[in-house]
Amino acid sequence: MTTPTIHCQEYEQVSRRTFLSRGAQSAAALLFGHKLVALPTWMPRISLADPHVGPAGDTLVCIFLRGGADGLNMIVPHGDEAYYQHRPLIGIARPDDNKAVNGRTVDLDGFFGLHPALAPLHALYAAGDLAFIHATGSPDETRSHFEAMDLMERGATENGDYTGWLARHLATLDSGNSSSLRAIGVSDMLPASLTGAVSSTALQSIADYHLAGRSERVGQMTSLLQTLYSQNQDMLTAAAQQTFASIEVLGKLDTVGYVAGGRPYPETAFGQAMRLVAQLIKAEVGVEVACVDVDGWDTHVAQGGAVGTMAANLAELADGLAAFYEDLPVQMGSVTVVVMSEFGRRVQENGGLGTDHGHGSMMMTLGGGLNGGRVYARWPGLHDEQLVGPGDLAVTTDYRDVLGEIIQKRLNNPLLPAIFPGYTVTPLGLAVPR
Amino acid sequence: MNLTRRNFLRLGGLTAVAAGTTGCSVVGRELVQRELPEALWVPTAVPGTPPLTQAAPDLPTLAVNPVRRLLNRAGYGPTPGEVARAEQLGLAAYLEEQLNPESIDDLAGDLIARHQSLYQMDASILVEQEPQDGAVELIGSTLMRAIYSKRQLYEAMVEFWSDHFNIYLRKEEVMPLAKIVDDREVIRPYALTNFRDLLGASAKSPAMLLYLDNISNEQSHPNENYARELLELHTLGVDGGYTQRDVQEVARVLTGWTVAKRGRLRGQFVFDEDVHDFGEKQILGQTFPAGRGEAEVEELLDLLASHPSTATFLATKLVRRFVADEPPPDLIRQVAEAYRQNNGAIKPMLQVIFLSEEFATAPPKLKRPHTYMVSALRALRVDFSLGRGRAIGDWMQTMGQPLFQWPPPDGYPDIASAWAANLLPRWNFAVALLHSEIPGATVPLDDLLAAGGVTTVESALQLVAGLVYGRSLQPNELELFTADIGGQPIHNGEGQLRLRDCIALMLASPEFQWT
Repeated sequence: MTTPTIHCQEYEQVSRRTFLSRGAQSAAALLFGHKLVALPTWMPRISLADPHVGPAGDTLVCIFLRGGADGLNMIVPHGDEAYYQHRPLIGIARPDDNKAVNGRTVDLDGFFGLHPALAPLHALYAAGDLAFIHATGSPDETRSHFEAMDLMERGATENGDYTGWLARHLATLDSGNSSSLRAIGVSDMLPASLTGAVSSTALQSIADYHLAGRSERVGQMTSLLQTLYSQNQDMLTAAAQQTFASIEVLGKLDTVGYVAGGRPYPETAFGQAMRLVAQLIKAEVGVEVACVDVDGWDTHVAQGGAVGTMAANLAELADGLAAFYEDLPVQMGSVTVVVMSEFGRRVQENGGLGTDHGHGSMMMTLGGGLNGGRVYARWPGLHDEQLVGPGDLAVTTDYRDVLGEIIQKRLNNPLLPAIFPGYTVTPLGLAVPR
Repeated sequence: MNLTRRNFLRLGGLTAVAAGTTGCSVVGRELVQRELPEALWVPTAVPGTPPLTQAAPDLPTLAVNPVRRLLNRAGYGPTPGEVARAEQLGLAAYLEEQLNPESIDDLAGDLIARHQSLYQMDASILVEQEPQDGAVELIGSTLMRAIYSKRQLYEAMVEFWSDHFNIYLRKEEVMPLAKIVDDREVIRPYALTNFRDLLGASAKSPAMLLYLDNISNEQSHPNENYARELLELHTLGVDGGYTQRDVQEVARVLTGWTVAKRGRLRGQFVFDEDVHDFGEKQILGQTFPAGRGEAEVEELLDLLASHPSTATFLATKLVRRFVADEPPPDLIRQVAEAYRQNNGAIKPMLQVIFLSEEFATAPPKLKRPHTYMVSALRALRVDFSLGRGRAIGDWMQTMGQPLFQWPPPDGYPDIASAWAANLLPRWNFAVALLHSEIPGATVPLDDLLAAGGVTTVESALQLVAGLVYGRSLQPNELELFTADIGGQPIHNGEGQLRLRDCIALMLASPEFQWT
């Protein structure tokens, strides 16, 4: 192991620091000393293949809608008459329904259509950069949020491996990228999908990623702390270098003066998170994976239809995605965005103008390398006899088929068995190989 | 507890003060201002530099005196004056005291108990309460006890078993309330007594049965979740010599071992024989005859608790927690032997660990975030009042170890590599603490300086180094900090702010991350 450089003054040192020559594996070696493992040793029951050596592919932005988003009211199956039988009050009107007062479905392909609040996404769909995958989800029929999220973020179907699928992707792709910002979670804590990632940073805001304290003292205190962390050479030295490097990189970014390339980002948590990710992508600081969480999708009560609580959430989602897309006209060719949720919701609306926990869900994928402009669906139907469990949309496409194809074709990582153990990915033809 | 008349009066006064406040909001302040005799207020005199400890290549070299090490690991680190008191008592005597927590006069614990209203409810009433209140009381009182209780080893063992028998607070809405029952009736009563008793209580804990899905384990559709973790994480360990077949058979034994959903016993453990599998089972080569029912589980737990793999598994985890990330095999053998010879008693294992040569010469162990936070509050004798706990909860979250919120059943990780990559929140916690930006937390800096009789910059820095590091600063370190403060007076203004900056840096520095 080469002795780490203590002061990372130059941006070059950050993006390709001399002591981190070979990506994830050497980052692990640096962090964990003599143990040449790609993941922390406390992780139980990990068995990983040797990492694939190759360049990083797209930047993956993984957006998780927490709470079980109602895919049926996002990408509306307006061609399935049973939809309207189950949802007399909260159903979204057909595209040609002239009596609809509050808004109608925006047709996509004659069978599916967008919730009116998602209308800003239509241009992205028409441009062939946005695709929807319907009746998707996990084969596990749990209707517990935490269990479902846990399974999905681990990329597993049962207890076993407690690392996240994104962590395993990063661990099995030696891209030579030594950035301290290779994987970020835009939140106060890393999502479970990144559990076990050797180099990942929980980042709530670029502007706040620095040592706290009085502004006129921060520089001096950071320098003193660097001195204190350079007295020994141990695993904290390495971790501290990563942190100082990220502080250094992020400190150079002009957060206040940043002007989006397209429409302005909404002043919501999601809008600002997407703005942060876009800014990091443009700054080319080595982000390969960025995770963004959006709360508020557990709509048991007062979900509403074309207007209401969920419509407001959808508007926020659509505006944030559209702003992101317009902000990165050039970069979008090597960015893939995935939007997912832990499960969908009950087909039949409940007595409180809401929906209960269901099963089959919907995913969105956005990026320049996708066969977009399509709704991918083996539609199971919404008639009673076609539903599963207590009356839920069946899952006909495993979420891992979507993620797996993207990992393989867009993220340049062929080692899918290590990422989704015990599962064989069947590609949908969703992505164009890089 | 042995209530002296003086303490009794204080408690009375406190209860009056506490009326009209919520939760644990006044406990910290009251304790800091009133409970401790003045003598204990005097910070440790600046120690010299103890001999250096041999360490592995990726671990730092630390100088730690034996008593300080014991206070750091068999608890949450010393408060001012505590090392001196423990040294006076002697290491063995201090350990003996800590191993018998009921012998320790613990006003703090009693005060905290008085603020725990949910903890005093019967389970059937408790489950009707607001879950969020349950989370606040559970996390708040656990944190306050870690900071203020004198029964430090006991609290450390409560944390150890809370990881071993991990329960995720957000798995179900009712979980915070169920976990209060688990804390009250499982973890705390048996934390220092006997593993078999602890295991038996855990197996009847509604929170555990809910968390690991045993409530849906019925003969017609068995659920293996609890059965598997009972073998893998609670007793034998993953390499403990059981098979998938054993897991399935254990699941059969546990069918009908559930929580009442209605009636008088709602929310409490019940054995539902209607859904129990009464057939014969084979577990670890032993036959469980048909037709037994509830008694079968006790027999199963006897078998598991007395299994040699369990002794080794528990010994390994305890040695990892208290001695080293890579537990020395010889010590594991000795601790496992103590377990076997004493039929699962917990104290003899701890005695072997803390009096061992391996402990005396142990390599540095990285503090987990919770320990880091609590040890900082203790080292500076911070006046801390919880309130609704929001601010401190945010810090716990950002640092990565919010109590009782680790989703998978294996408990928060216990080796350095899991935690080393998230340092910035620790640093910023230290800065926020010293600059009074954590609501409810005040560093009594003037009192500390006064108690230490300190007037100059250098003596102030040395005093704090004694509290934080347990050693005096090297000349180059002293120069670093004094140069930063400059010649300004430290009792107010810019001089004091800079002294606070320097104290924050000491808490943020690598040395304070390790024990």
